[in-house]
Amino acid sequence: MCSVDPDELTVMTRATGGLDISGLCFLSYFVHKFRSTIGKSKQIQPGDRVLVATSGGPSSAALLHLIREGLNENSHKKLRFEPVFLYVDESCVSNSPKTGPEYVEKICSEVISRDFLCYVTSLQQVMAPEAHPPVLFTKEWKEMNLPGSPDLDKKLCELLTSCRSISAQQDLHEQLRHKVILQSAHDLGYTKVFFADNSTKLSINILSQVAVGRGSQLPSRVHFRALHRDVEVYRPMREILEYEIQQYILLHGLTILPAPSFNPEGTSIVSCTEEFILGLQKDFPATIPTVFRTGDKLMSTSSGSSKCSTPDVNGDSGSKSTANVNNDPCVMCGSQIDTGQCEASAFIATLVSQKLSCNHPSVHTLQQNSTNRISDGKSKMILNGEVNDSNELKNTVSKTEDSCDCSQNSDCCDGAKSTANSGLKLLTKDMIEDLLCYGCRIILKEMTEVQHLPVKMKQTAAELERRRHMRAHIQDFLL
Amino acid sequence: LPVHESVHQQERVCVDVLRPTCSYQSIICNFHRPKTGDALCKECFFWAFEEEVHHTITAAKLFTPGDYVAIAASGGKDSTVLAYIMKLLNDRYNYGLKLVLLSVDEGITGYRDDSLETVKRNEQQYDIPLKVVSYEELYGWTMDRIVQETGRKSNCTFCGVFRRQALDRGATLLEVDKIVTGHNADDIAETVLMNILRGDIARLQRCTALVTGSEGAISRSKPFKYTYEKEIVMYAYFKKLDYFSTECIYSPNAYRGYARAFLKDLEKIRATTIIDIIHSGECFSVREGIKLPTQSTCECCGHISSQPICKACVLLEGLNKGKPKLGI
Repeated sequence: MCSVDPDELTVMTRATGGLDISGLCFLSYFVHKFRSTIGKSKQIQPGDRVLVATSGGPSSAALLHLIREGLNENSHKKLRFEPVFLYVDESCVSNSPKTGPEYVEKICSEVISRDFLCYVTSLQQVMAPEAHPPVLFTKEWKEMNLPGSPDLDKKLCELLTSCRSISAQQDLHEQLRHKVILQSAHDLGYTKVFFADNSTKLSINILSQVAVGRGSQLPSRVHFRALHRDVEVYRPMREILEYEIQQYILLHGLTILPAPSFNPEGTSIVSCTEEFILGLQKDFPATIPTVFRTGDKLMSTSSGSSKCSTPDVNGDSGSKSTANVNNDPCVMCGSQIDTGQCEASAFIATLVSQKLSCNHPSVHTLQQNSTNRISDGKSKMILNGEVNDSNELKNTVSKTEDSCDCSQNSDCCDGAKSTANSGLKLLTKDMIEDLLCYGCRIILKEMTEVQHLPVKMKQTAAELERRRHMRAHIQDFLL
Repeated sequence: LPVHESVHQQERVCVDVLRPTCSYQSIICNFHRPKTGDALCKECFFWAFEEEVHHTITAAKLFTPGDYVAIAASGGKDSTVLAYIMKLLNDRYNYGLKLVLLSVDEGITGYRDDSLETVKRNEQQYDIPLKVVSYEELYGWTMDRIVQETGRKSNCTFCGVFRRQALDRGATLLEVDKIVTGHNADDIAETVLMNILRGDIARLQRCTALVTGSEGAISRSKPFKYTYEKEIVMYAYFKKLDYFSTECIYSPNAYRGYARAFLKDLEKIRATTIIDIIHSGECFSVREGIKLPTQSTCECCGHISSQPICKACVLLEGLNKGKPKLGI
């Protein structure tokens, strides 16, 4: 017997709360969740043009259906925005690249059959210097319409395989996919994007992002509305659990088309987190909602400086962090850089560890001094001198690596002010490292070859590097 | 005969490849450093380990010369190594600190009484005075009796709450300026994960701070915040430091166990995850408009509390009245 409407028969049990409800009551509850998530934010206005990213999976299928039903409604509750759909073809990095075009047709036909426009782009566009704008899917679709080329395919595969671990590959893939979707929105002139992420996926995301060091980016990956430069990203399905979506699909008889996507085999941080959360959820049914709600309440501190010093020395740490403040977004993922932190932070601790473990030349004097027990004042001074200026610390590491490049190549020098192309060739890991956020640094560390990075990324990195040199030159005169 | 020789040669090559040389000295090492994977010989590992702790201490400006510092000592690996390192760094770098060991006796037979023996040995070995405070004298209850009353599920709550106050009270008795605890990177990463899983926003904000404590309370710091548990064990092993290494007999059912298992799995996949989690934790803050508990003092005992009556008093009240579940 349904707990909401006693006349109806039970179709399922809502695990959270353990209530039995009928199909009708479930559907109305499900739709209500979707509508209220959009409605209470008051961010989607009538007439707004929205690009909906679809993958053909369960959440995407449910989202498609919900939007169609919502727009069809004749009452005052009618959804009032203008959606078009976008499908990103990832078949070139999947296990079955040849089935790509077939799925493009299937998934996009499904969208068109509901009277929506559907655009198609492919993941390898992220490697192109000038991305091809997404192509509109029509009934006359042919395989060659798909934007992309074998050359780009190869470059993308090389980029992904250049990361040594699966965790890094998955993280990188996620960033690239995100980039492509935002780029497409930009090319098509849309400022609002919908992602079909559901609550279960977001909870797993929260923990796995924390585990890869992307805690500062949680808000932009998890909140209902996130701003990425000039595009707003929304997640209207964020309060709906995965199994609720399964039930919705069952009740409406929707078709799921699991498209070929990047799915490496083996354990990674994401797979470990997924296993953990789903396992814990069985014993503690409130796990996923709790993790989700926690993620909802979090924001990132702008530079992290407030958390890692003693309360009474805030003044000092403040000035140190401004010396290192970086307002440019991360070159790889586009988020705020979170490595401009004070001396006592985890990030600086990792730099110190690396320095101490790798026999860096400047460290030798430190070791000799402390083991020989020369007057402690001197050793303290040296250690403090090295360590109190973390800016210098990072520069020493990078200088030894790229100073040889500058001196050998007479074309370059003076901070790589030469043409973009020769600047690109001289890009070393250390130069790019400074321009990345913490999470992307980890990916970079695992990459064997920096040259595989997308051309656009390298160009931006080179440009930022040149600007930094310029700024350093005129530092004394800036107010 | 030629076949044998070539096989022999192969073997020799393999051994050289498997045994890397230290980054600093060309000695063949027996191990990789858990934190970074680099090969270091024993001496260089000791040095790197000590320097990192020294860096944490100086970067966060934990101490001023002349401070009287209590080292929270349980006899376990963290506190034994902490006591050793504090003494070593104090001497080597002239922090100018006066050290004392502060130990809490919860009254767990077969666990705490053994580890207390270790602390007493530390007192002798490192020449640092020792003060022991016990639950019995502070609250009139031992953990053994508490577990008899409450069963095995919530005993960590009792022990944790009581121990925090016990440390504070012991520190006040001794009139120290600061307390240092042996929480290591693994502990803090576990705490971050656990607080996310439990939705404890207030604690999530505080748990990655190196120094905690507010006005009126003695500040506590964690010099081992960025030190891996494996490295602490490695340090103690190679330095032949003596410590007590059994798990608390009441701990198996704690919720923290889940977070710990998860963290260990993550560490196997990628060793730097531990510090990455701490970094993520440092980047959190709470959205505007979310209500957080405010801190004031307990009406009963005067200790810091976010409620009118602090948790310790509530728990104690429950125990004394025969209603041990009160406050859980």
